Amino acid sequence: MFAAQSNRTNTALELSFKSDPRYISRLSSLAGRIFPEADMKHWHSTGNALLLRDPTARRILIVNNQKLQLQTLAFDTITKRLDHHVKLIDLAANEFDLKQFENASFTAAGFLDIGMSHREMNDLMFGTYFRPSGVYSTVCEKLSDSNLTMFGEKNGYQLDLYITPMTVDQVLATFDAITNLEHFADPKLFDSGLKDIRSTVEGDACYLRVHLHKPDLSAFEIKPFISESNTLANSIADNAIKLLKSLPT
Amino acid sequence: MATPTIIELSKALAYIGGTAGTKSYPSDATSYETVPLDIFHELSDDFSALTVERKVLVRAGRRKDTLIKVRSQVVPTLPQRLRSPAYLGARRRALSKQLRAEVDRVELQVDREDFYVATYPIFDLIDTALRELQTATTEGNSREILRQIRDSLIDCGWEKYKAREARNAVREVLALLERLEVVEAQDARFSYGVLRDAGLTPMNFGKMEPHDGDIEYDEESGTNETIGGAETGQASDKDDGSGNDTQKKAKMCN
Repeated sequence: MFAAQSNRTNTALELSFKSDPRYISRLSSLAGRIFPEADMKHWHSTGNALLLRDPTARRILIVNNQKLQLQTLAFDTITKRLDHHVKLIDLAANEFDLKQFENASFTAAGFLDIGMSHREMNDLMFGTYFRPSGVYSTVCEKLSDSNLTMFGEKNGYQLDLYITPMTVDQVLATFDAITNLEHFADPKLFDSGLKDIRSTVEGDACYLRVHLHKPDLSAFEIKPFISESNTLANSIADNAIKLLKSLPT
Repeated sequence: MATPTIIELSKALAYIGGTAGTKSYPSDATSYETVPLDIFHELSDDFSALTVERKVLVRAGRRKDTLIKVRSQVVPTLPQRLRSPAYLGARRRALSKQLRAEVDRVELQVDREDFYVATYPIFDLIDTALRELQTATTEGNSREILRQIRDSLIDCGWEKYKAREARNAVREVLALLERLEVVEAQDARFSYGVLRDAGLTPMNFGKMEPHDGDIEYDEESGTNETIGGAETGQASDKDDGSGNDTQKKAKMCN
């Protein structure tokens, strides 16, 4: 479902590591090495963090003293150039002398258009994910909205899953709250591209957020982590929507 | 509130080229022409039905007078039509799953003397499903399949549900309704074949049930017999609690 609606799905790959007191010199050195390789148009450095921006491909890379983050506004951006992105991560790992990442996570959040209004999606939540709405009449009547959060595991990954039918107002408010959104525009204040993406997601939608994470990953496990978590997130989204629509999974 | 506005009335009057006259109008219906003007409102605050009717007689001098009947109506069923094909498809699959569970329950009750009672929940749920999918333009084939299953139950068709083969056929058809995104005409044809091959009657136009006073011809004796006659006392379609109804239905089906 994420892959089928790639432009309605934003992602974030986050690799966290132990902070080192020498990070300022290392970050500076990394900036010099990674920028020519990154194929990203803009760079910014605050001294504590390095930000590389590629507004055309809607991706940004942030490296600070304890985290490397690759963020995109489309689901397939990372995997389309998987080797390229793995190379950038390797560069950072070498520069910071990292053998192990403390935690690796992949998050995909989609404003999925499943052809239903908010009211319809909310109605279907009861009887599928929740018990039929009548069961709750003693505590709440005329159930007008719902939100499901699940924490668990799937295929060896820790999983946080959020399913929320959203009205158009909720969609826009959630879209506007995407972290670092302003860095995806070029030039920052006048690029209409973001407005176009915002228009794409405008409408009632089923908001699905899949957060997959694994602790203690060695540097050479990052590539399989990226491709596996990407496939798994897509499959979870498929099945989550199928459950809502009472389709066999 | 679904009352016609002044603008709506003015437009109606402009349409027939007259002006509003007195509220009283002649009792002789042949002395004026009637123009009905129906205004439908598809949405209301609480989806409740409401109709407001006004009559306006337009005097036309030499020409025949015209009576405009303006009826402003809130139609609560129309908002349901706004329901999306995706939503109604999901409801059809959920209801089919429930139906399959009802068919499974029947299996435990095949030895009941009043077996038709055990099959009633299926009939009832099909009725609910048909009502819910009534307005869906994309669920016509689903409704057709549901009607096939319903028809297979009526006119003593429930007796055939005692056979495992028949129940499996119904389960197979319901599984189809459960898994498809869109139900096509070929699925309805497939369903018809599956039900018929299992000995069910998927298209039943119904036959007259015998009622008190009806005359039934007995082939064996070659005589006519009055149903509900003196011999059977006050027998009726209603269950009197004595078990007569169960026996009567069982006899009827045999």
